[in-house]
Amino acid sequence: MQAMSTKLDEIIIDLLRRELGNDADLVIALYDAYKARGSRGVKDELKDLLSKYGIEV
Amino acid sequence: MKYTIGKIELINFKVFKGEKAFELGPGLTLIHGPIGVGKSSLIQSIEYALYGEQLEVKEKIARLSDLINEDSDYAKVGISFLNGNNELNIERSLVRQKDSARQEIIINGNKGDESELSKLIGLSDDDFERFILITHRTLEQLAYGSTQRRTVIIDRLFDIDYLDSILRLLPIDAVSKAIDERKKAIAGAVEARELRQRYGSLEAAKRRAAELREEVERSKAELEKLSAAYGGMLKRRSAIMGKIKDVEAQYRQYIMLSEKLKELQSRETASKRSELDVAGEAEVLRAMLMSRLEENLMEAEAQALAKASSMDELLTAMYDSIKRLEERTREVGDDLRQYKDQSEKSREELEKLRMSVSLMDERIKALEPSVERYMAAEREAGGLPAAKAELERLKSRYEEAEAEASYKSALSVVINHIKASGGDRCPICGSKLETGALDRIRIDIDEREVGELRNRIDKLERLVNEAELLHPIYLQYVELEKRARGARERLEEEISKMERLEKAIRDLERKYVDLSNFLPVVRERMERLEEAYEEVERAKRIEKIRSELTGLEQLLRDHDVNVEEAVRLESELGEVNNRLESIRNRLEVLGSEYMQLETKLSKVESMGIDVEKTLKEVEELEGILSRFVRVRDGLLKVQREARQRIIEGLAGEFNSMFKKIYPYGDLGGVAIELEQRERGDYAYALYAIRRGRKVPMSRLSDGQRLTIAISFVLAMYKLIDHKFGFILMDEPLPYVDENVKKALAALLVNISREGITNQVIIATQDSTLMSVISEEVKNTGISMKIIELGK
Repeated sequence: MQAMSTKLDEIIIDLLRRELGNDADLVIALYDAYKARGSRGVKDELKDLLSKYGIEV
Repeated sequence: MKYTIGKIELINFKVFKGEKAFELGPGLTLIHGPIGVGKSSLIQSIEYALYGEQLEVKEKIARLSDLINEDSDYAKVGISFLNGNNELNIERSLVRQKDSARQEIIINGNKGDESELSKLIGLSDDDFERFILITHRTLEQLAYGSTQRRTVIIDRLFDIDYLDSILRLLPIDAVSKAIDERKKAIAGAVEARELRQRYGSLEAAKRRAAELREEVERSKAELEKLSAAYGGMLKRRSAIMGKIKDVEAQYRQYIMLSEKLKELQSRETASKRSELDVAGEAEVLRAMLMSRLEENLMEAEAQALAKASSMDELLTAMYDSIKRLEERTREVGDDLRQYKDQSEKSREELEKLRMSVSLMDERIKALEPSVERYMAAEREAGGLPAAKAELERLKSRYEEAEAEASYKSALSVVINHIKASGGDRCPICGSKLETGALDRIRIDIDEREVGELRNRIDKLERLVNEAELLHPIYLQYVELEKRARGARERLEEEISKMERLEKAIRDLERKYVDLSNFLPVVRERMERLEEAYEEVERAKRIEKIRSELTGLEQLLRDHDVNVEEAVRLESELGEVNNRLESIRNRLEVLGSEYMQLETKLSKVESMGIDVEKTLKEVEELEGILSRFVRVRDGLLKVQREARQRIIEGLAGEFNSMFKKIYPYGDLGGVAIELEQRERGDYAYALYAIRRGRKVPMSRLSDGQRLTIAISFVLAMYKLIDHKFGFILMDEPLPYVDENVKKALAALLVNISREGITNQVIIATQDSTLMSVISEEVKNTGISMKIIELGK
């Protein structure tokens, strides 16, 4: 179970790619943002996508 | 063996001013004291020594420089980790630099770096915080939290809480709302698009609406005016009709005939041919058609044409004839194509046959010299069978003649020998020779005959050999000649057939060209004839109507009817009526278009937004929404799969750990499963097993729940591969009653007794907890050390 979270991360990334195909790229970008800046990072990513429509995240 | 903590030395670390040193022992270490004396700082110093950071700094709640005591610019943390006879000494020093701090690390007395230390301890800072540092939040949420809160904390412990966070942050509702708002705003967008497609632009549509409005108004005014005029005319007609009650039928007939006359006169053409001209032209055409029908052996049609007496009958018969001749033309065309195809095939066949005959002729010519030689040899030999018989006879004769000549030659040698030797006996048989006997023997050898025979035999043999050698060629020649004769005959036949075919083609072509040229001309003349006939008939009818009208007009005048006025009035009534009908129809069309256009324009104008831009945004947002929904569904699946894997990895150790530390026999074990929630996702559900049945957490006592929570974190602590033989608890259960505190004390003793970890370090301000732990440890043989911190 060493580095369980790392292994889980790898498994999850694989599962995401399998389940989501091209959409996995968005989730992986959100994942990276979360790892780097937490929920704020995810919000910022979504904001980049939606701000031009005036949607608050 | 794993590392336990032997000693902690602090200089100016957080609340500790100056130098402080703390000895920790194996087993249980209780750090006790009131709020603000440094219990948590002491726990935090361990994480700081190992990782150069601690939770508050990582979470930006504090800066690194905040770890230095506020009265100093320098701090140091030194910790001795013990592992059997091995010792790992880590020292970190911090020097304040404005708002930040510079730090240095010493490992076992030498300057070190983070990567070296990371290799030595083999566990990340995040994992340390999850598996070694057991917080009250973790324990409380595992023990007393709702399914949702428990799920969040377990996900966090395994660092997959980002899946839930991303799921929660996906703004599906916000995007749906934005789409709905835009859709509402562009309710008239479809109309706007249609208007653009139909009129080119919204401005053009508005112009068209204005035009339509004007035209509708104009038409309405005209309709009103005409309706009034029409009413006046009807009154005038009514007045006329009042006067002519007795001759109403005649009046109506007069009006009807006047209208009819007008219509017939309107169709009059410039052509003025007499009835006689028409009849003459009809006869000419009849004759032309008759000749073609007869040429083509179409007797029935010819008879029908001949019998037609009236002009109508004649025209019908002529059109029928033309139709049949046109069909015949198509048949001739089909035959022509078929014959041409046949001709093409015959021509190819002929060429092949010609080639074959030519090849055979060449071959025959090549064989002719050999055949001539054969014939000459056979002729000279007198026929091959006779020559062979003669040859046999000559050979037989030749053998006889040669034997005789040999005998005579031998006898001659013997006689000459006897004469030469003078002996009186035969040298061969030894008998006595009579005197003078030798002189009586006369030997005549005819060598000429033998030579002649040889020559004749040689000659005949040569002739026979040559004839026999050439005989197969001769036979081949004869066979070839026979085949060539047959081929020539077939060639003649094919040539003859070809000539017949070409003649038939020429005939058909001539007929086809003739009919193809003839029929259009006749048809055109027929049409002109029919027009002329109709014109003659129309003139007759006009004449007849005029005559009737004259009679009727006279009758009406006799009854004081102003015929001209009546006719004019009827004509005007008809015209006005037609005009009214036309305006009404037009008004209906214009009005409908105008109303639709106005409705759509009002919808579009009320939007007050950029329709194209908004439509584009809706399309884009729908794409984003659809993507988010796919992402949400995919994330939920992945989250379930990840949680399932966590359960599979942990369930066994969790149950085993519970059995080790739970001191009573009423629960047989614990289980963890995934349970589907109302919103469709799957959450962790913890159970105890009582008599083989699952009991949910909500139905367990506080102590049982606490045991399950601690079993859970210890299962993780055990399963993870690390080098630490201690766990840290900072105020593990701050707000629980004494019973729960006793339960915790019992669990801690069991943890130490079962050797699950070598060292448990607990920081608490709770004196009761300290007392119950001290009480529980008594007589267990487990060592316990209390570090009392005071103001």
